[in-house]
Amino acid sequence: MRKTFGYVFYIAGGLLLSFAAGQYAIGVLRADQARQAWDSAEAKATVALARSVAFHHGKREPIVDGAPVARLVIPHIDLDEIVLEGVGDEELNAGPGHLPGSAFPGERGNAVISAHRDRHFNHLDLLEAGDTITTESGAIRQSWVVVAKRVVDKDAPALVRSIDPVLTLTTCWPIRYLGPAPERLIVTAKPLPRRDQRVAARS
Amino acid sequence: MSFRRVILLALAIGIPQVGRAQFTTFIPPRNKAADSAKATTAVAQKTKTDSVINAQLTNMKTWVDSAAGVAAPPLAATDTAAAPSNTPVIVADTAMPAAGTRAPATASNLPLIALTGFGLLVVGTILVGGARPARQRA
Repeated sequence: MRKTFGYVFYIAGGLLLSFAAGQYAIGVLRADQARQAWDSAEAKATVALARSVAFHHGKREPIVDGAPVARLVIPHIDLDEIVLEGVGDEELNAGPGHLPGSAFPGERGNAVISAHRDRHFNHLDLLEAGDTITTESGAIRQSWVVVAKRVVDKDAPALVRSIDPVLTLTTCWPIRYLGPAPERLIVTAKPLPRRDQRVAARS
Repeated sequence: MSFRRVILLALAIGIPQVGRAQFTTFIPPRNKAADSAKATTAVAQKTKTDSVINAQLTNMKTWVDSAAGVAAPPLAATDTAAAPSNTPVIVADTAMPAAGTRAPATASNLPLIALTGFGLLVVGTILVGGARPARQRA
């Protein structure tokens, strides 16, 4: 009887571990595909088109969830990831997600990017005011400087509109914690002046 | 009639004529071509002013609608005065609620699942391994 329970536990544990490992593997695979799509410039063109439509008509063309929309580079925590549209489980499993409805990085407005605390933003708490962030979205490359870091309740309306360009990075808090997170870590960055440059011109 | 009376009579007749000539306003005939050009210019100026005011009001309405979370109607493509090239300040995050929104939940269950699986593996290993001596004794 004891041996039977042992085998049941053994099999159940193996299945759970396999499931978790499989999800991580799928995330890595999708992240790699997103990077390839981003490097092919097709994704950049999609974002540039959406940005152009929004600029001239005040309404953004919807981008399908899971599509690569930006590149996020944070040298201080050694992060270089492709941001996908959407903050669902599938998107966040593959990479940081861009909150639908928020601005793209570099646009006027609040650009919100979220990621799992145990994956891409597992060192987000190490960021301090003054650290720099670089984003590429469409044809715009923008450098940012971290100006604030705060922890808020999970139900707090911490993401607000902005007339000026703002980059907001969010993840769950505490970072080293299992289960549903009671709080959120919010990192706010402002654009660095005179650092806008066209990616196309640079490359 | 003396010469002096003749002079006085002449002055009495001539002075009012001179005075009337001084106070008579000369009204030239209307130059219809010039009036037409002025009217055209005035109409064009008024149209331009109205168009600019309309553009300003449209932009203001866009801004107010943006602040209120209402999608603004697209500007007419043919109304070039309403869409000046240097003024479109479109905030791209208008889909976000004006009162703010919660940060998305980014707590992944995978670590918990993996830890649970690892725990079950350990327990299973102990149970299976612990049963082996009993079997060997048997």
